[in-house]
Amino acid sequence: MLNRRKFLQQSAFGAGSMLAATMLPQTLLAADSNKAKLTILHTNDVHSRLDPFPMDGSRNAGLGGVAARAELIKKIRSEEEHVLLLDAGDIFQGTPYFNLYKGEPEIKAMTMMGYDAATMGNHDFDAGLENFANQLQHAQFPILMSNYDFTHTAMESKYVPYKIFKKGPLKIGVTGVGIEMKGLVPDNLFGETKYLDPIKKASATAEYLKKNEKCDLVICLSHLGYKYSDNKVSDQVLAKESEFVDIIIGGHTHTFMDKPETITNKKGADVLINQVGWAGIVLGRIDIEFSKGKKKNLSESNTVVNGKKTSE
Amino acid sequence: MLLLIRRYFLFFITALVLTGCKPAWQLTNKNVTQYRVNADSPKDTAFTIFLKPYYDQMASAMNQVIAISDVELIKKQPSCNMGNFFADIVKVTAEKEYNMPVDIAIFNHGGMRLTSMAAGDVTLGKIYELSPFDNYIVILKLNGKVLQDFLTLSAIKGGWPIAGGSYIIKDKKATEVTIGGQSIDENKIYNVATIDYIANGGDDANMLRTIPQVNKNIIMRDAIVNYLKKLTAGGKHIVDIPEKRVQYAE
Repeated sequence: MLNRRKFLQQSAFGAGSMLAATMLPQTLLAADSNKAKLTILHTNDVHSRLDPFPMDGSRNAGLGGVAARAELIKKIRSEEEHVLLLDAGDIFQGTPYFNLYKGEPEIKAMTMMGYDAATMGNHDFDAGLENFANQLQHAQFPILMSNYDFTHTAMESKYVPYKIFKKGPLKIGVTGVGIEMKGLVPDNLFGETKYLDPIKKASATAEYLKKNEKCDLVICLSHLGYKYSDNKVSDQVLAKESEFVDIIIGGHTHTFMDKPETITNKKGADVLINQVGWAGIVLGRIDIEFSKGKKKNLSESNTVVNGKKTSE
Repeated sequence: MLLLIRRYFLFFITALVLTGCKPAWQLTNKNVTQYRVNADSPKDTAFTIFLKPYYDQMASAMNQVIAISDVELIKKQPSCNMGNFFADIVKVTAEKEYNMPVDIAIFNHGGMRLTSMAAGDVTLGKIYELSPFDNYIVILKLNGKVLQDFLTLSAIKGGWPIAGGSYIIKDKKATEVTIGGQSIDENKIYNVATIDYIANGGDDANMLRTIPQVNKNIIMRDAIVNYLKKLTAGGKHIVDIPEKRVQYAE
């Protein structure tokens, strides 16, 4: 008897959700308004690599460069309706371009490519916090940061904690977190900037974006680093300990991930982490499909590598 | 049973309609692609045009060849020919510029910003890429105990470029430390050459924060450039130094 009841409940549930999936479109919604797609394109740690690595026989020769990346982005934008182009910091430092021009061509190139948002990395302070603030006059995209307090610094009015993007029927919230600078960035470069707990700040911002702003997806741009052997806060820790963050676009550790990692957070929800090495060698792309009502595990997916894998 | 399902489903629909609540968007699928940006990737010429004035001015300064390398220098932990070569330059430069014997030169692995430097012509620009930071070479006088702590930090970090010394990484410690071929002596004072970033506590070198620095504002990159120019003037090349100065215990 007990078994039969359990069986009935299960079949009712199974058949019910199956019916809901097949009948909802016809009964309640217009033909294709129950599906939506978002394409996230992302880079991290580009480190002033405006030109490809020179063809000098070194291992990364010919890889990267803004002209090729821009062409690729343009092509994807022509094929997809809803695209977000994001960067996870360390835009600056690494080629003589930065030593000579202090980041101006890097920021201008990102504006030309139509970046939607970026967060900042520790090396974006390398010519001083005032310089980063000053170069942002060339940016037509926001710098997102939730865990640095820039009160009384040149950055005070140059960043926002989050930005909401409306992409068709979708509302996408994007925030950013940065690494602790003490011991990493010379004290005089970050000045009075205060570092706040990235897990608390990211969770609080994400909760606001989900609950108050009704965002369908929350992305956190992170310059914390993918993972560490000690208990230092990383993207893995952020994924586990945070709430309401769905996707972490990471940086700092220059990790070429073979595929994104899915981690279950403390609420039992899937959090996706991805990072694409450094120097603009790889452009990352995550296509997310949304449907109304039915839920699937985010960890199921396939990864495609386009372009021959040479070196990194 | 069918009736039961229908009733359940109708209730579900009615509830939805009555509350006026729209079903939320759910993430149902994802696809991940990684585009490798290669030499043969098509290019947007708008960017080539945009970069040209920046590039031309930079190239006129940076494309001069200042040295020739007989080997590819590779950045690798715990020990590598790139780290050995540049740590040697820091030690030699520090001895000359500060006019004192230097027992050991050591700086952070992350201070070298190229993963590889090809054999052949080495341009000034390449050295800017290798060492983009305006870090100064400084001298610290460290007793053996603090030096041991400092070396252990470098061991925990996976091994740093070092000249004049060697160690084995074991149990997250620098063990079997030698300085100038001798075992480290806790009571001895050593002249240590490093960069101001590390001496100021960078890369978690907290044990150095309070130690006075001798600093003549010699930028590490300038030291490398000057050394290479002299090498070239003397008809010499950059050579392979494969010595394993830092190793993991077996």
